[in-house]
Amino acid sequence: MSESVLTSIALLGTGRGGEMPACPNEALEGVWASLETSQLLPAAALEECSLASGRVLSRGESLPLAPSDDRELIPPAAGDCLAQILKGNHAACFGEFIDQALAQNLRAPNALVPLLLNYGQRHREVRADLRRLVGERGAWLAQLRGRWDWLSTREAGGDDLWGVGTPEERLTWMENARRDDLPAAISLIQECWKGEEPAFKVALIEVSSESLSPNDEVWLEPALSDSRKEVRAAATKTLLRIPSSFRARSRERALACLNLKRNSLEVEPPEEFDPAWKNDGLREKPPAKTGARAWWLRQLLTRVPLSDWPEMLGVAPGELFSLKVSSDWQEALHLAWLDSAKEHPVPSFVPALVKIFPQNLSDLLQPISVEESYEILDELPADLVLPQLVRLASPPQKNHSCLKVILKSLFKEKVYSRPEAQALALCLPPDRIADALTSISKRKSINSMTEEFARTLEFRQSYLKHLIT
Amino acid sequence: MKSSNWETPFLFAMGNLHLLLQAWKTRKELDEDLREEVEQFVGLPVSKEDVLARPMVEDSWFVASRILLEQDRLSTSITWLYGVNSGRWAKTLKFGALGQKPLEIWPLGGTVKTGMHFYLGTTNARAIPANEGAPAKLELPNIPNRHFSDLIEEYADLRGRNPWHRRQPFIGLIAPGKDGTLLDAEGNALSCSASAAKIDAFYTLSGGHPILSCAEWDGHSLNLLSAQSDGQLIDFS
Repeated sequence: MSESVLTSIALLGTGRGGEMPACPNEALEGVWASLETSQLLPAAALEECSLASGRVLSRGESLPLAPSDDRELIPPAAGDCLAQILKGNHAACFGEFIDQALAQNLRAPNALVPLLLNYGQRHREVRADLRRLVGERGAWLAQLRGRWDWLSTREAGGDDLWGVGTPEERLTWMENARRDDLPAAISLIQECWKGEEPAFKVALIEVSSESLSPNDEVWLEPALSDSRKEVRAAATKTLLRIPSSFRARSRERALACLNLKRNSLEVEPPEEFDPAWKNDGLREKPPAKTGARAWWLRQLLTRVPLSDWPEMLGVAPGELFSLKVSSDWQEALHLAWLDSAKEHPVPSFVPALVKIFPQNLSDLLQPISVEESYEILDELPADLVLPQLVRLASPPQKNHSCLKVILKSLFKEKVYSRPEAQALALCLPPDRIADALTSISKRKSINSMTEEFARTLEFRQSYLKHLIT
Repeated sequence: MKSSNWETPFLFAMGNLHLLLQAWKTRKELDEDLREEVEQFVGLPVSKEDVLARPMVEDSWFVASRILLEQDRLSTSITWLYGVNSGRWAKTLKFGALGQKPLEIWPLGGTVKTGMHFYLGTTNARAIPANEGAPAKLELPNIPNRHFSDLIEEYADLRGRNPWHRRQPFIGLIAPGKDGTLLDAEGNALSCSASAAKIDAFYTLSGGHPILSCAEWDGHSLNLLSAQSDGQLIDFS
């Protein structure tokens, strides 16, 4: 709104004298001349009316046009479901919705693009999918509005963003920079590494692990002796994913403790803690109730990715876990394998590991794909399966025998919360939904968890029928 | 008022209130239409029967926007309907208890064939439909393209006849412009008072192109109410 010529008089008070300001509009000249400062309010009404009625149009400047996107839009009925999900209703269905829409090469309805970009701002893990879903229209909007920097290109953020941006902006900038020019990005990390906060160091390692290269060793190696445990752990994990010198010397140290004789693996922990190990992130002092040698052994063996073990020992992958361990150090060896399986999962090893560590099922399944998890769950007893299905909360590509446990558990009231019921509803493949709903409808009465399960299935049906052709 | 620039709007509001009080004092000297409007502004009730007894305007009414206001322990649903043949605007109001959305039968973007009984007044758009149960068709009618110059001229005329007339709806092709402006099909600009979220949504819907949109003009800025995209009228209110 334009400023009033009367504001000063209004703020000072009409009783303080002074003259009426100049007439703000020539159309008011006659009447304005007859007014005194004491007639402030009629003057204000006149001025407002003349301002609002006397608007003069000016030429505007257009925006650059958004590039066209030839992909088809998500159908309106499915788009309504996506709007519901983004509002927090049936939020657990988000992943499946996005997967199905992308599988059909559909793009998001324009009306939902800002909401999806806001979602991506809060959920880093879905950004790659959202980038595809919002397509050209989303990138155009982000650039125009100078927001959602995670979607913008590196140029759009400006090179100084690395120096002056927020942690989130800097991470996004580095993610893009690594894609564009990896050597230059690595140099920048090296330059700033020492002055960064521990949490940012960990986040930087995580962002970098998406585009890891052997050249990253130069800045990751010093991070092994960082004063903070979480930084050391992140650097250790990441360095073991590239052919680094750390990986080579870790293997040598482990081999010094192992001796394979036919089918028997002899394990002998070191007698003393080598001070050089400290620089590689190993801790000398064991935790409570753990012997020092067992602790050193576990740390040394954990630093060999599980995938390297068969070749290191010269055995076939299938033989590794059936080797006899002829020493008192079997527990330390097993714990090292478990640690390694969590950090560097090998899906083909999981069935054998599950037999050794049934109590660690969640840890072992966590890093492997949904499909691989279902294959393993098919072989396990029902009481172990249900919690894993709740954790997975994703449908397999084909039917699996382990899914039978879902309806049985619901009907026997072994599902205790709504989130659990919703998660289980997400485990059924799309072609099983109708059958499950029919089975539920045939029951004389159903409990509240089964109701919740059915509601989620119906919601899934309402969008899947538009997304799956 | 939270805004740091509260002085001018406050002064103008006080000026207009003063003008209304003056008009109330001398209402017997006013024309019947303007007197009716002054009485309605002050809050005197108008009976529904009196309005329904007035002649009606038959047209196909396009449901161009719907605003839900929740204040004074009341939910008010304000619908702007555009007469496709007459070019006239009608405003219907429905009320409910706070937190209860008044029931609206006609969807946004629908077109309804019915008569409309208008309240008495020189510039009054408030109306009551003759047939509130008339079916709505969800198809976009042919709406003649109007420009901001038409809106400004019309608004000046309305304010000249009724100085308390505040908001006038506009429907036509609108594109987003630079610096928070909105552009009509001739490239003329008016400032926009929409929130950042509304502007994000309008940018995305338009992709920079002019799209059929409905907005309210208060003499100072346009407030976006709805816009068409992907074959649907999207609500911005």
